[in-house]
Amino acid sequence: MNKTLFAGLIILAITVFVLIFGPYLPMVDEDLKAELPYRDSSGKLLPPPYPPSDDFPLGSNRKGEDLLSILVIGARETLLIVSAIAVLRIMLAFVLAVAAFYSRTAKVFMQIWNSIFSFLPSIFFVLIILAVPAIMFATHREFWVVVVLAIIEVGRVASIFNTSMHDLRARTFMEAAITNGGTPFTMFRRYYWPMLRGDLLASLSAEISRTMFLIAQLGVIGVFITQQFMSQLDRSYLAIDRSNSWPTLFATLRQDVYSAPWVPLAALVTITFVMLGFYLLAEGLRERKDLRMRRLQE
Amino acid sequence: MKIWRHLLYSFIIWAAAFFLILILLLMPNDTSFESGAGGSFVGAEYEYSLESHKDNFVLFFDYLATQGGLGEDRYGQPLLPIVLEMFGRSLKIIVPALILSFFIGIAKGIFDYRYRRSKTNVLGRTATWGVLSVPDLALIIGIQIALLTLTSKGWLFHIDLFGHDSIDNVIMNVVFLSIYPAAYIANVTFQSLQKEQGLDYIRTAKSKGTPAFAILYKHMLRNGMARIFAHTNTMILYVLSNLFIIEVFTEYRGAAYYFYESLGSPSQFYVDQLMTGRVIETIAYAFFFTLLILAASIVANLAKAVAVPVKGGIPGE
Repeated sequence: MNKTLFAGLIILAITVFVLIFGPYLPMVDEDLKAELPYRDSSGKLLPPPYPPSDDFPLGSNRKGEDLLSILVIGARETLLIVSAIAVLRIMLAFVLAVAAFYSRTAKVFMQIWNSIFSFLPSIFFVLIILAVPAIMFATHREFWVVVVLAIIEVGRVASIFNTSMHDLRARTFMEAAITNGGTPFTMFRRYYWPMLRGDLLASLSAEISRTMFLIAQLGVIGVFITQQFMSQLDRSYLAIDRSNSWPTLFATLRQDVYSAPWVPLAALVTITFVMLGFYLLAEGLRERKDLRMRRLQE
Repeated sequence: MKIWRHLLYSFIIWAAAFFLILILLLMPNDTSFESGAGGSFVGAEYEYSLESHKDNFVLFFDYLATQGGLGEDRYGQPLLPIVLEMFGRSLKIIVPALILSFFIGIAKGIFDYRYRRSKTNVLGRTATWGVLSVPDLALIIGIQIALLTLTSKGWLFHIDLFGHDSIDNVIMNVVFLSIYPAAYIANVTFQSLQKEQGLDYIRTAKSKGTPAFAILYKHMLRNGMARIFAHTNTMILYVLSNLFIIEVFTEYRGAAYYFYESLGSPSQFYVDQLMTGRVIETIAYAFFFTLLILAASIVANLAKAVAVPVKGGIPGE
């Protein structure tokens, strides 16, 4: 096992541990009690957000809730949404890539799909689509947001798979397999699928990392995956994300940078750590595949 | 001839992409609200009809024709000059960022390649890798918090981090925009140099006594350029998607900021009234953004045709 893959697996193991046992750990407050008001040692009243201290290892947010607990509890939702998007994207991309490998129409479709969505950054498309009332007021909005986020980048991932199928076809041993009488079906089962299987895992990790970044970006500009409309003072309704998913910690980023930098920092460090883990995993899996391909060639 | 076909293809895809954006932006907003006691929000029902979608298209082109252009904004000012001014403001940070990240990226890639065997050199591959694996949002917010802390301790002169009218804003935003794309290009450069490394022509050149730097710059890099140019579109997309976050976050009021501002809000509404966007403005900004990407892809293609010596494909591929 290479070092990159090993490092990625360690971070993955830590993440999975937190996902399963996190909420039951002693320093995590499962109910997220808001500590208000709070007195320091000299008995002075302090308003939240509280900086990191013994009671709040990472500090608290503006409601006086412990940040460490929010991060641990929010891990489940965050990773659930991110992996749902990544899994759906990979599945669709896989089907499209294989179709494009065998059919010319599908190939043209894939290329056009990929090039059209590379004419604006994904985040522009996401914002335009999410403002369509059909999605804004959909009964299962989360579901549609996941679908939209997955679909926008399907073309890009499909072309990656497609390229690696074409690379494999160019190898000399593939000619031998065809001369030996391999039908397209057995060729797929015995040669393409085993190679794609490795690719799927590597891409899944890479996509989880990318998606995590995209939802963090969306969080910075106040767009969330799970939301509820809350009545405001001016009789308008504003979407508020009441879940504990990590991007919600960016909701008040602009104030926090000045007055409570520990809130965005805690979220950023956590997101970076998990993203780094999946990035390492993806790179490690690719390195392993490259090594195997080189051995095959020799 | 190949290059003309490429340009034509880019142009057609651009038209298709822009048409898709029009379809999305001109989507009808017919929503019927269900309100409860005191006008509180109970639910909303959206009805899509192809008819009104078509009507929106007709209306839009009618508007363009009767106004003889984009018309006026909500304050009665002609819209086109404003859009162009905002776009110019954004270009002031996009263009330097693109050029910087391209050339610094290639330089960094060469540096990484030349010192690839040194294990202790943290400035080499390790640094490139570090920047690539950390989301740039973390870098940006980290830099901001660091600068604010330094300034508040009096260790650093004041740097203006928010706004668009001082030179500080422009410089900081160029830096923010180029960090990640530069690392991306450095990585691509390194990989393409590594791919050239074992090829026969390099061995021949070495055996003839060509100095190492001449091999690297004259041969490997020129051949590797094809692969580097293949990644320029991704680099531009990184810069633009970051531009968006940076303009909104640091209140640099350029094209991306107003594009965002003019969009209909996906997260706010009044009962019986959606916060619909100023569609004409949004369309204008989207038009110029896609045009920028088209222009960049044409420049990259032309540069590729000039800079890459190999005809009929890259050896070993």
